Amino acid sequence: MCRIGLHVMTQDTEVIRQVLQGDVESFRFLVERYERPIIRMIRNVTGDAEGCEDIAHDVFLAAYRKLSSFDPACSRFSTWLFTIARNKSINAFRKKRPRSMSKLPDRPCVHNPGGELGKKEFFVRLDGALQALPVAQRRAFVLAEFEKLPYAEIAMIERTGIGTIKSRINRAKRKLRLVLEDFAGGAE
Amino acid sequence: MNSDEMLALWREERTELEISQGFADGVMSRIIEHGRRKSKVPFDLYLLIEVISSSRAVTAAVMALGAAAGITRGAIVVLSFLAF
Repeated sequence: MCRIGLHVMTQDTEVIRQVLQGDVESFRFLVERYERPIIRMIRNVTGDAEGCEDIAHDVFLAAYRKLSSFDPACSRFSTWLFTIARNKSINAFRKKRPRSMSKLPDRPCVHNPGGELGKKEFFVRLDGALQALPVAQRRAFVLAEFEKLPYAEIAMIERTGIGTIKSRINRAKRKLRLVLEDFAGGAE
Repeated sequence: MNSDEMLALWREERTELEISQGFADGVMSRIIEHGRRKSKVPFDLYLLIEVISSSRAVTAAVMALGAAAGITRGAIVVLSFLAF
């Protein structure tokens, strides 16, 4: 593990110890350190830009309540927090009606893919394709590509093997590549 | 701009995030509220178990009380059944 990573881990563990000793306000440090990646992960997994902060609130509250069960010997605090975020996203996703491939936006009429309109349409289409991925593939893709987490950490969050994670990410990339090809085809 | 560059741009854009001001404050208030509510709970089951198991006499008294309540309840059921 790199020195920065080790420093962050030690700092987190020290803050957690303070919180468990009754210094509740110290928990703010952990919220401020991890709010950005947690909210971003929830937003990209659920596709819910409005509700993602509410889910993130629940994640931090659950983390605070379960803090005594966190074992720094088993995982990093960030991994543990992402696991809670994953579970909360699953619950939120169950409440939401899943979007099927058939609801993807129609192939755009793109004459200038590099133009502002083409770019916007392309992003909408990629967003649609991301949301249409099976949720396990989407989570693996989001954690790897947007959060830049190593496969081993994603496997811990997803409670599965590294091989499964690699295959989920590859399948997700293949599906997104189809959108790319479709887009390029539409542009021709 | 080719498709690969646009894909990279999409990834970049999706990692950008604007968080509501006071998000951390909101979380901290919920945590403090949670702590307040927790301390207001009048009945603490763990404390009760601790008190019951603190001495043999208390444990025996609680068990005797439970047994008496059970026997009385059984007797009432049998008597009501016989009354019909």
